[in-house]
Amino acid sequence: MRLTYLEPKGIHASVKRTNPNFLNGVPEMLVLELLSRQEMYGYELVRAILERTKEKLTFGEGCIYPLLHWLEETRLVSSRRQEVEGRSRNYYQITPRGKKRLEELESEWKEVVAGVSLVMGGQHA
Amino acid sequence: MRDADPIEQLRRKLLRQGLPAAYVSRTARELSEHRQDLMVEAEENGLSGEAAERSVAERMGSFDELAARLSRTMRRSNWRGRHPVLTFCLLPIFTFLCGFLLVAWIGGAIGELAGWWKPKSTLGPDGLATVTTGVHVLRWGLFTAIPFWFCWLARNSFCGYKWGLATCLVFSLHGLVHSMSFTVPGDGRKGSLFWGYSTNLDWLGMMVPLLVFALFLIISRQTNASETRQEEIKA
Repeated sequence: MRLTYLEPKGIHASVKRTNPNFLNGVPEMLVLELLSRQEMYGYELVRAILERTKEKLTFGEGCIYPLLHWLEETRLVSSRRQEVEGRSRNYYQITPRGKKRLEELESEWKEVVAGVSLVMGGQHA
Repeated sequence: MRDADPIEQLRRKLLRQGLPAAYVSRTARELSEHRQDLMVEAEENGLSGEAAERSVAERMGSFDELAARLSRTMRRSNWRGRHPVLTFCLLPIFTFLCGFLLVAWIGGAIGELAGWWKPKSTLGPDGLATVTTGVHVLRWGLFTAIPFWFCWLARNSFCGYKWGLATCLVFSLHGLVHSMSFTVPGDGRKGSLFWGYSTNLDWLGMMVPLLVFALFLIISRQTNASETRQEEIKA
């Protein structure tokens, strides 16, 4: 699936015309899930999304930053500047509030998947 | 000379829109680091020169759309940005009305208790002159401080110059029709304050918020330069 942009409140582009709410919260959930495992910087996060989704989700990589900054502004993640191997980077980590939000998103997502699976006769479960 | 670096163009665009310079510098730095990482990856994959740059540009995506998305996303991250008309067009007037009425009411009550407003005021002519000046300073102080404060709020809540200007324009229209007169007690009558709206247009009241916006732009540019320097030092 080619996604033009990641948005905090949903993935738009190809799905926008048909159902803008279909994937609401998915980019937010993916980023929070990855950050709940370890702190990462922007490039690392994009690599992780591409690798773990087996490049099924692709997007303009610069667009990870509006999402990260939005998450930081809403205090779901925090960031700190750290130097690693001579290069200084902004590392993001999930906050307790972010963990709570992740739990909510996961539970909503599971409901969506369960609902869709029922309609599809369990073939995609 | 036109700078072809898309990140530098994005930085300038965001600054022109009135986003806080510290945020803009930090974003430009992150994007630049991301691009560097992509460049290293492209070279590791055997690409070099123009081919590597093309691949990196494609993976980064459109910077114009990114600039629009950054400002929109950040604006929506706070209440003020989600309700800009209410915050920057209606709230400043409401703040002015409440601020003025509150101070005038407190001043009026104190004066009433102290007998300042009686036909034979307990204040001397000098005291009454001071009160008159105070009332006018209060009005013009609010006329200056409120638009400036809302311009600053617009900048810091990622709403940019546009909504700061909106505040000043609304305040300017308000200033045009707002009217106030204060008469000191004497000649057998009590002191009074007229405060409201009239068709006698107050051109100075209209100009002041616009001048405040011009002042805000100047101060904002200086702040941008200083915030950018601080971010560079931090980096």
